[in-house]
Amino acid sequence: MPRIPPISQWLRLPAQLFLMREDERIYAAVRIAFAAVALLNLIFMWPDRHAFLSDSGMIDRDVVTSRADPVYLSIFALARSDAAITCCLLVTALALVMLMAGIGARLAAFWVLVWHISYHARAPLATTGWDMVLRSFSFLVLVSPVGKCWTLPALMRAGGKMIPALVPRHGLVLMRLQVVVIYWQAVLARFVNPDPYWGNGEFMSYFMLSHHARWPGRWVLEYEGILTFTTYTAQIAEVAIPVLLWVKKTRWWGMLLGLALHAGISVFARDLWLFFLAMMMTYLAFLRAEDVDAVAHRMQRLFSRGK
Amino acid sequence: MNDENAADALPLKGRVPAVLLLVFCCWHAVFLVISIVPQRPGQEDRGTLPMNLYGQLAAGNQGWKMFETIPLLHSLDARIEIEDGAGGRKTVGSVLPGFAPYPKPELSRHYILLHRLLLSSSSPSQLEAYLRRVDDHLSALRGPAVRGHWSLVIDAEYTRTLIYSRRDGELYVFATRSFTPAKPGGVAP
Repeated sequence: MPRIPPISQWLRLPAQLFLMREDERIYAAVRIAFAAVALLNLIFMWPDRHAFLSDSGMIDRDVVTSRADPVYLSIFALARSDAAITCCLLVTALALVMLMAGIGARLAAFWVLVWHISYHARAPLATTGWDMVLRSFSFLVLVSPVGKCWTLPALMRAGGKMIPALVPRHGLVLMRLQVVVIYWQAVLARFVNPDPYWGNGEFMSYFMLSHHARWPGRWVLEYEGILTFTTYTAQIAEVAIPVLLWVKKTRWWGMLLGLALHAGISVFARDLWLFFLAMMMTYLAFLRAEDVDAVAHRMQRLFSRGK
Repeated sequence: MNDENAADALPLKGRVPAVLLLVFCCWHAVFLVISIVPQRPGQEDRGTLPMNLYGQLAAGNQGWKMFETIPLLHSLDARIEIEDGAGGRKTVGSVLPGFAPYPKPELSRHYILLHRLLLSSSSPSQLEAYLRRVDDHLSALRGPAVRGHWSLVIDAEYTRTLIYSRRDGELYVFATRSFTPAKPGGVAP
């Protein structure tokens, strides 16, 4: 690697934080998982695309435009007919497949960011929590090193025997920071905008009886103690998960705790499994080179046993 | 990692691109750290045009709730009832375009949309526009006589306060609201 002239003294700390090198396969794992979850989201939005995005649908474009802050930025300002909307979704699906395969990945990532900005601007009333996760990560994937590892062209050329490169970790650091914001802001919001249900521990009881609940019923009333405990435990978990994930020694505990929290939400709630997948995707940014090595090694052993 | 390694870590050929990358990373990191502090209710932006523009283009709306906090609403059903002129009412779905029925079981995205559109006070302009559009579409579909002779009816079930539910076992209370283009604020039937 060519020697770069020494950087200024005051840039030393950020340089250490952002430009230390990481295994490019971690980026590849995030890229592939991100594209897969975003593609699933697109597929499930497909039947309702006209309801959410067209001028004859549920959300009024003029109101959205007038309330845009600071400006209305959306490809749906141009693509307004049903056919144009369908075309936009098809192009996005193609871009997501390309991103997953690592073909023209930078261009594909750019389009995927445009798509996310556009549908958030056009249909703000229909955006969910997992849309927001995908939206923030679409930008971070775009500014991250693309690399060649775990791309379809590289796999075809080298047959999986490619040596992964070391690339700067700025994208991963920003992704990790984003995960911290997701959890900690959610907890802080309950203090800044006090919500009695979180404060008195009744949130989970109400959540289990709400629209989101998979099995609402009188049984909820009988488990007051457990559900109060779960309410407080969930908040402690939200504080702890980013810290555990970020510390190298405890990252697997963080992943386990996060998996338990989000799998729990997915099991006890209906129709929130995309949120589970989106959050699990974000955890991949906390992987280390040795984790990827271990997984690759296990996969190899698994395949060699199969043969 | 020592200084030499930090310098080695620079992936870019040249000082300027490396510094630009660092400046961007620091800026985005600071933006994210500031975003940890949640916005207060009614505060819709961070105040400055560059920050809002950056949020819109790059970071997205950093408003995280983790659990969509609408714990009191148990179920929602929305339909459009049209007066048939003989004292009866016909029903069509509430989902535009095409007056498709509101999905059952409810899908999260539809539920969130309907909740924000109909029951949240933050989007009265959207509700008004929706009602106006329904009026136009119905008129195009069934003739101008239908204008004003229909209403959007919302059936909702709310979870009762748990102390009362524990006393008598009843979990939910049922409520119906209807909206017309003339009364977009909603009226009890």
